[in-house]
Amino acid sequence: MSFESCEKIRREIVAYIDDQLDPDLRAEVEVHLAGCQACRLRLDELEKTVARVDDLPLAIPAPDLLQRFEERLEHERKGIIGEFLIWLLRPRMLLGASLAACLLVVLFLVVRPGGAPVSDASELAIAGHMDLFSDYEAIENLDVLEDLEFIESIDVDT
Amino acid sequence: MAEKKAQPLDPDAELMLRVGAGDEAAFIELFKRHAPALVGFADRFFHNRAIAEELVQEIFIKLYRARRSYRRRSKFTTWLYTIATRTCLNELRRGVHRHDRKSLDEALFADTRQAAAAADRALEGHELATRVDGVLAGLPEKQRVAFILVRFGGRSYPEASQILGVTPAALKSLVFRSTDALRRELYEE
Repeated sequence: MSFESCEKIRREIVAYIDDQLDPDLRAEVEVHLAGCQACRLRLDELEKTVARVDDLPLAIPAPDLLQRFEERLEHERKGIIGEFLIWLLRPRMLLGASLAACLLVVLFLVVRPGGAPVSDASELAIAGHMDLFSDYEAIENLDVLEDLEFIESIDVDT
Repeated sequence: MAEKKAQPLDPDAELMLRVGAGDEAAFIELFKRHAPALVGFADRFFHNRAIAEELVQEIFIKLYRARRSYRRRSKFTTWLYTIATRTCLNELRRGVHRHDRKSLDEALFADTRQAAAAADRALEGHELATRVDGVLAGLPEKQRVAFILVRFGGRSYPEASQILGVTPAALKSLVFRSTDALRRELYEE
């Protein structure tokens, strides 16, 4: 057996042990192993290595892990309701809400049920600039906005 | 006309879609199914069960927050272990945790208090675990993570390659190099 062929086969031995080779390559490995004692020795060592690692015990979770997680999940649910309200109060949302409110006020003033249409220009001017009365600064400084950006930045679609 | 091939059912993916539709019980079921194995997986990074349990809860909270955007583009466990691997690596890179082997001691000695023979096995297991950890600590990160995913996470090669974002050939090479490094430690002294 040539050094090159042994090196090539040895790189496949762990995948062979793990049964992760396609049938053709698996057959090629088996043919080589049948005629190469050195590679069979390497196979033996790697099989023992894998077996010893597979026998190592994994950590066992504490019995109350589920209960602790359910409590944390409940806390998360309550937090999401609060975050939804904060999301609703974002500046863009406030602007949208303000414009919608403007429109409603204008419609109400122009088409007042049971009354004469509004003709007071000053009332219309006030209705058209309701957004200037929104206070963005207080909202922009809330720390919770950072948490929302973090949530939105989680890349979970793989 | 050829019939469209039906997509194989992934029970976990079906559960996650139900979570996205508001089924909280389905989410608890997913936790029960996968949290124990994930604790074992995360523990291989930190050797501290408390930290592993904390991270597993954090991983599932991330899943919960992303529940409405889950689209079943990949197998559920691929998605889960991708998030788990990234979470563990991010935490590892913070570099604040000490490896103290608490969880290994708990696992090894939980069943061996009465039997001397079992205690010998436990000691051998402890020594082996120490040697395994020593070898893994000296490997490049991708080799170490590939080894943990396949050997301790139970992921297949195709799934591990998706999780790590490498080609199947690259994943095979990573697993070979890490396993062979351990072989040299155990059999070439």
